[in-house]
Amino acid sequence: MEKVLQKTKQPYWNVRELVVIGIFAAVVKVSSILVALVGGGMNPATLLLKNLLFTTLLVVLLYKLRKFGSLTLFLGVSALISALLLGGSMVLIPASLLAGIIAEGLILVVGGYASTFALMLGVAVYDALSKIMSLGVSWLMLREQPKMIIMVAVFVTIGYVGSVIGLFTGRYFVKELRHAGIVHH
Amino acid sequence: MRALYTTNTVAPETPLHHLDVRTKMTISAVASVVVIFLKSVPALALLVAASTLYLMFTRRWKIIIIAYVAVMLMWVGAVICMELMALVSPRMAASSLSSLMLPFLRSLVLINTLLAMALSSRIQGILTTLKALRLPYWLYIPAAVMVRFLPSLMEDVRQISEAVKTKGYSLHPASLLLAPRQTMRLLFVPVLFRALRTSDELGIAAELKGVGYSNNISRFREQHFSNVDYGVLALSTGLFVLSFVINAYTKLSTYMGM
Repeated sequence: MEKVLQKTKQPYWNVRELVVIGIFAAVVKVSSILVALVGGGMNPATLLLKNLLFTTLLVVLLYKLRKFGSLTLFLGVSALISALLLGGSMVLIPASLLAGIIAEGLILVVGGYASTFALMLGVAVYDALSKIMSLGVSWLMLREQPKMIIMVAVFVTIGYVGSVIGLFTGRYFVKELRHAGIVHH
Repeated sequence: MRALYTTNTVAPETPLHHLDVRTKMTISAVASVVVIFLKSVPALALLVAASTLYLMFTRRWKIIIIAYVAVMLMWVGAVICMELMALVSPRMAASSLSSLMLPFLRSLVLINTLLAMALSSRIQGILTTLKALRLPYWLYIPAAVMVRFLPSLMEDVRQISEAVKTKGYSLHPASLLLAPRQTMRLLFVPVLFRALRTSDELGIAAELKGVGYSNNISRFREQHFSNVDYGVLALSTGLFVLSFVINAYTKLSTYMGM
């Protein structure tokens, strides 16, 4: 009887949720590449829009999957595939995961996944932490010429402005998606 | 991005394609840590030379040239900015040529090893590797969905862009800069809607097939390290050790004023 119960025990993640995470990871990656291609490379507008789209999609994802671990799993999958297929940096993977775990902890403390404010704050904190950690990694790479970090920091700050705007566009997107019946919460 | 379209049938065979993806992952991961510790130009130059040779085995010359030109442009831009900052405040000037070279060499090693892995990894290879890594199903399923969905999403984007063009809108860098809201509405909202619909359909289909209810993933193709993999790993280890020796020797000679 115990064996039967063990077999029918529901796993923490169901397949639908895992598929949503995989598809969002793909959408985020393709959107970033698309913005970079359409925007003509590195310029403030491209940087702003790339970050805006990233946080917008992250907010939509967390609205759709209100579950502890969604953000970290999304980041892990995205980083793993980026490193394997698109040449993403491997040094940044632990930093990104750590930022994700801290942000998810904060979401739980502030109000849980049912609170819109907590979700937006979690995404904002994740993005800030990951950018700070990336700056730390950049400092390690550029430590002989630390003044170069000033330029990197300027770019990162412009990107973060886009991320903050993205929190609100994400909320707007969720309203539209709810209206269309795609997001049910 | 072209690596995404690489399939088992159309990809050109290069020596790197025969290497196990785990070997390439290990080389990239170790290289990204090693370059942080190296502080001498000769040690990093050795790794740049070796990693360039490694990248050249992919024979994707066009992509390699584009990547190198992009890195050079970024570096020239950084140096110009440093010079401009030095004009404003002399304290901001670059201290020496070697201190300008070191970050550049570090980035080159990383780009070479990562590009080599990205340009020689096939989608089926990645999926087999993910299985070989014995990842739990909750990590394997989203990763596999992402890998499989990327080409289909690119096709969706292409179709949406064509539909936008037929309606009389044009998508180019200027439109993104001058009308970002309109570009987002025309391009990204349909992509998001389509992706969400697909995720629902795919999720239901996977659930109906019972995916995720078994902890054991059956393996269609088992992956094993070959002698070439062991050889490449041994060679890379030797190069990393040698670069550390050169680094220590250079530091010692500088310290002793040689």
